[in-house]
Amino acid sequence: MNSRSHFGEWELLVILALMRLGDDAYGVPICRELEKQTSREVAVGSVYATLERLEEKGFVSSALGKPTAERGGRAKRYFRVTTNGVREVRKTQRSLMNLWSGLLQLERGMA
Amino acid sequence: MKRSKPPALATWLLEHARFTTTDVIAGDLLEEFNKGRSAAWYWRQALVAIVVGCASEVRHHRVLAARAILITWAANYGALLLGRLEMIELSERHFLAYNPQLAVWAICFLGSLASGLIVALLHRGHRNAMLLTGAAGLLGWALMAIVFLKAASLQHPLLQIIAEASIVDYFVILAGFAIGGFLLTPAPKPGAPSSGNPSPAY
Repeated sequence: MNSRSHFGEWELLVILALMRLGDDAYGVPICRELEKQTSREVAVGSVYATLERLEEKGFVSSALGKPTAERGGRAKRYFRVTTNGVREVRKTQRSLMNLWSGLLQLERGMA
Repeated sequence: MKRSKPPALATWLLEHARFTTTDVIAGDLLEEFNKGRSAAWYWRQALVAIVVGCASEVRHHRVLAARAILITWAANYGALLLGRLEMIELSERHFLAYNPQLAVWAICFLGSLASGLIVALLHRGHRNAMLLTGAAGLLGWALMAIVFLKAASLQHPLLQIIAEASIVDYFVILAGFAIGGFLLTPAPKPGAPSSGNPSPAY
């Protein structure tokens, strides 16, 4: 596993989208979820690059599904978050909550 | 009117890029296109997937990528130097039976053809990524040289002519490199991405 274990911003978004989708997490729904949450166009290629990085770090695992006709006979690649990944997300959540708590600018709704 | 089929050239490029994830991405893009995405969206996604796939492969094989760039630079610098010397030689002898500029282009083309072949044959497992890296290296070199010549031409107007001629030289070099690398060497086998699980360099 890579020694660098904390998430980048984009990695965190991708892994959270993955957690929201559960078992049906492959390229198309992951990108749709990210587009819905971030309100911007997402590049499928960059999502896969991020997922590969997360897989190298041991936070995500993947498996190929069956090829389907609507995809021109190509298989889907399903992703799921590993136990290590969930643990790391919790750690990041705690760190962010600690950083966010007590910030007067955010509590008063200031930009 | 909505097109029923995705842009064929974009699909061809994606299928022939053969990076780790391009086959799965091609399936995702087709699925999305069939659900109503535009051809422009498909093109954007395909090009980004190729660039990101190449960058990912380079990240995993940095030493090979550096070697590909060095080989490309060395071979083409040699060819360009030889071409220029040939041109000077011909000018000095007033040998006008043929256009000396054509001789320069021919030497540049052959040199870059050879460099494309060498890079492709030395990096069979990562052919496309290393050729794209070499081509990016060539573009970077060309851009630097042209910017340098343009800047220097403010003091030496003659350099302006050389800068303009160099644009064609580099275009010939890039064409030769692409033909030598992509067309004269066997393509990676279908369904066999150039790298499976990412492994350390070498």
